[in-house]
Amino acid sequence: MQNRTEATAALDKIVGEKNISTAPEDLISLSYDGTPLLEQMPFCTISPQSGEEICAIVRLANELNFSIVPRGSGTGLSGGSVPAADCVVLQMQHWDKIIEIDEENMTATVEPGVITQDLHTAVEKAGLFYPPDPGSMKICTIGGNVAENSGGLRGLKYGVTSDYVMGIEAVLPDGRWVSLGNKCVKNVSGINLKDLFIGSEGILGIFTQILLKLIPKPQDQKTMLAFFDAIEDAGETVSAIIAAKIIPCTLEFLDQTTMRCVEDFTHIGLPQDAEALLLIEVDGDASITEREAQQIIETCKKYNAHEVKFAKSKEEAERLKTARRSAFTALARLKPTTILEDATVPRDKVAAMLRKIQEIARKYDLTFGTFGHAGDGNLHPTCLTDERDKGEMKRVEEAFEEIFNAALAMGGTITGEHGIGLAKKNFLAKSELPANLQLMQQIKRTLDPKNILNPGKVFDV
Amino acid sequence: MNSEPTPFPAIPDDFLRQCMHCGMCLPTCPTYVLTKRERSSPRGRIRLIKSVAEGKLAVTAQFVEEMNFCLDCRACETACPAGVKYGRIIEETRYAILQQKPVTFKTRIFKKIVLNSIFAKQSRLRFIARLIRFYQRSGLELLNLAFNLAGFFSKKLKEISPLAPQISKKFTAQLLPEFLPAKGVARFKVGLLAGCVQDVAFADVNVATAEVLALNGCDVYIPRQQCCCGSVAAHAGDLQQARKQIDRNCRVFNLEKLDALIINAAGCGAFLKESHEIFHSENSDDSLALITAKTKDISEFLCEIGFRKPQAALDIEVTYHDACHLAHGQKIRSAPRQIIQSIPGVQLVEMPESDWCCGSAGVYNITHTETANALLERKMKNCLSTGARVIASANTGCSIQLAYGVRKYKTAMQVRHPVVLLWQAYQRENSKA
Repeated sequence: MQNRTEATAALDKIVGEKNISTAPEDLISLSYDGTPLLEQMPFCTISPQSGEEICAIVRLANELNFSIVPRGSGTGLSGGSVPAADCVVLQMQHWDKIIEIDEENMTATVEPGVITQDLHTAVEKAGLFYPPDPGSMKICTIGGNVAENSGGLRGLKYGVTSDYVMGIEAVLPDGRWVSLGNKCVKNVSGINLKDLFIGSEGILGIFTQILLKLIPKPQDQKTMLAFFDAIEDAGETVSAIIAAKIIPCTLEFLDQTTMRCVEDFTHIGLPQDAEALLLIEVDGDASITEREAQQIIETCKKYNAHEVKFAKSKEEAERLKTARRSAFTALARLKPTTILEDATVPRDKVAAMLRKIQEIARKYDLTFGTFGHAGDGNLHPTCLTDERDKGEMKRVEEAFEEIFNAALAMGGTITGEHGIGLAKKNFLAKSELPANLQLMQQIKRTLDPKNILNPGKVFDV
Repeated sequence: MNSEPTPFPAIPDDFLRQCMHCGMCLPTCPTYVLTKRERSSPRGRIRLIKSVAEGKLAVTAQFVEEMNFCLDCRACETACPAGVKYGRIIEETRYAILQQKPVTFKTRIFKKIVLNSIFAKQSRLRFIARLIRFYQRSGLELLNLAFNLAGFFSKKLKEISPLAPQISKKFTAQLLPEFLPAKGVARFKVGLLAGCVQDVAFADVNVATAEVLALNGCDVYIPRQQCCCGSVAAHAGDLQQARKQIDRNCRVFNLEKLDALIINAAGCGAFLKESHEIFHSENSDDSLALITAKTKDISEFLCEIGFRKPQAALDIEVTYHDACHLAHGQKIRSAPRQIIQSIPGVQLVEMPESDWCCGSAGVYNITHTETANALLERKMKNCLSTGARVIASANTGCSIQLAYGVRKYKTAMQVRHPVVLLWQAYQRENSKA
């Protein structure tokens, strides 16, 4: 870009000096998100105060040729909010108002900076339920969730973010402001454009408001832990539970490495010798949860679980799930660098995929901790390594490539919930047909001809 | 290759690398939640420190400001699944900043008078405390006059004058002998660190601690020659002075011969338990190793030895505030609650966010009054929501801040150390008998 000073001065006029910074301390602290190994400094950061300001900022970017990277809490795991070259970081975390909870229509209207867990708390007070619960839900934002189409622990039964988005208000890369979808359960007026923005990773528009579908809060939960001496048995159990036509709301897998790290952090009494653990939760009417829990226990035992136990209270169940959510970061206790992936397979292939990951780890002589949403086939093979060891990093790269290939060969995908961003850009062509990729690029070019919005993410144009 | 020394040689590279910037710390950080500014979060600060260590950022005024804006409450350590030692990182950074700072006349005087003189020798602190008490007792008008006078000379002084703790009528040494023998069979020999501010502002906490220990089979030593634990000097960057005070306390307590050194202020306990790390000592048999091994928080110690449950009842509802340096620093949460709940008739009503910093944070309420007040407001709202009459707090700084909150928001709540409640219940047994 020619003139950063000119851009900064013009931005200052739009947002006011309180809401703009070029201080190195601010720029450094916005140079990363939750993704390992990626960083880049923006030249400026701004906190817009209104949709009109965002429109003006976008128009200015087109005029002066700088790019814009929207950012919520910066917990993404594919580098989606890592600054691009010559960019302005558009901070949205102060857009944190829950505008309305409409009990009659069972919807919530929120600003994109609302923290996911804050929304959970607010809607549950009204007896309602917003199911998506990504691992970082205590701090991640709804805007980020929609942009990445985040999943979570309850994906198996309740689906992912896209299943709950009814409407999106967004500023387009050319400065137009659109409002797509509304509170109608049925709405087929025109092409369903709203869905284009779900999982768009910040490259097609900047969200200013989101309308979410809510459902009634399930009456009862039963939470169980099952421990296995062999990973395969845990994998088979997952398939058997689903084959028995039970859909638990949560069906999570942790291998021994992960279990030990989580125990080290939480001290909740996980055994150190079990090879694998399943965390299972069923919810719904009490009579149903009772019956399903019994069936699940029998299935676990049939597949050689050496111990199955219930959470004794709501608090204990909450502690167990919180412990599971800490898995990714807890793995960082072992090695300086932790690289997490989210290769996903159809759920009948979970056992096969788990075996494959073990095989690949052995082949490349690497330490993996594997955990994940076994029930929906979304696994998180996590490599524990050291970025300073160049030789090992080369092997890590090769191992992940092989994992992605294996997932694709099983009819899976290279990312279940983290998105492509920067981290998996090079693998997108492998996972998508050339025509698919071309269509995506075509859409991006049409909406953002000057490539100002989060450029270089997902694919190059 | 890089021949320039890094500005923060004391922070091991692995400490900084341990942070994988996942962001789990953000929602637990009071300064981030207040500002929603990434650089005011633990993750942001670690990245800034790393940048300075790697020579990518200079030690700018803004950097220093950010490091001091941190409360060092260490809630992020509790939240961090990766086990990042944030407290060590931020404290080392502050030491390094202080060491680089040019020594001005003002700081030299401060060091000479406050650190090397007042806090180094308890008799001098007591003298100052008596002066403050004189002001506090001399009637409202004179007090107001004093504040206004103070305000005339310095806006800051006017702002912080109301924060001053109520000075006790009598100090520890006037209330307790140097040796308080166990009642009944002596099972343990312990020392009681009377503290610096605790000694003059909460002498009743020291009395309660000693009496409760004696009642639970401890010979209690409270040597007159003891001094402040050293954390005041250490936090002001004077590690040398802090080390002197640790050595002195080891000597005057004859610590080797004791089973434990009992602390009833969370900040002092956290400092002493980590002193081995703070001073980077690799020696396993020096005074630092000794004091690290012997230091016990009063509630931790009482629960470990299986303290006797009181027979008499106190008919009150109590809410408990987790002092940061007890809950996050020493990972002690259940022991103080066990003490409160052991008292018949006492109902423990948990407050929301009990482990959210009250804003005291050492001298933070003096250096960052506005932020401290915002945190105090949040804390007082949470306290009041319980309907309890008593706020239990096990740290001197928190107790001063909470007492100020009680005055500021004109509530009828009382602030009490859990051990004071236990002592009250024990005393009531006698009055019944």
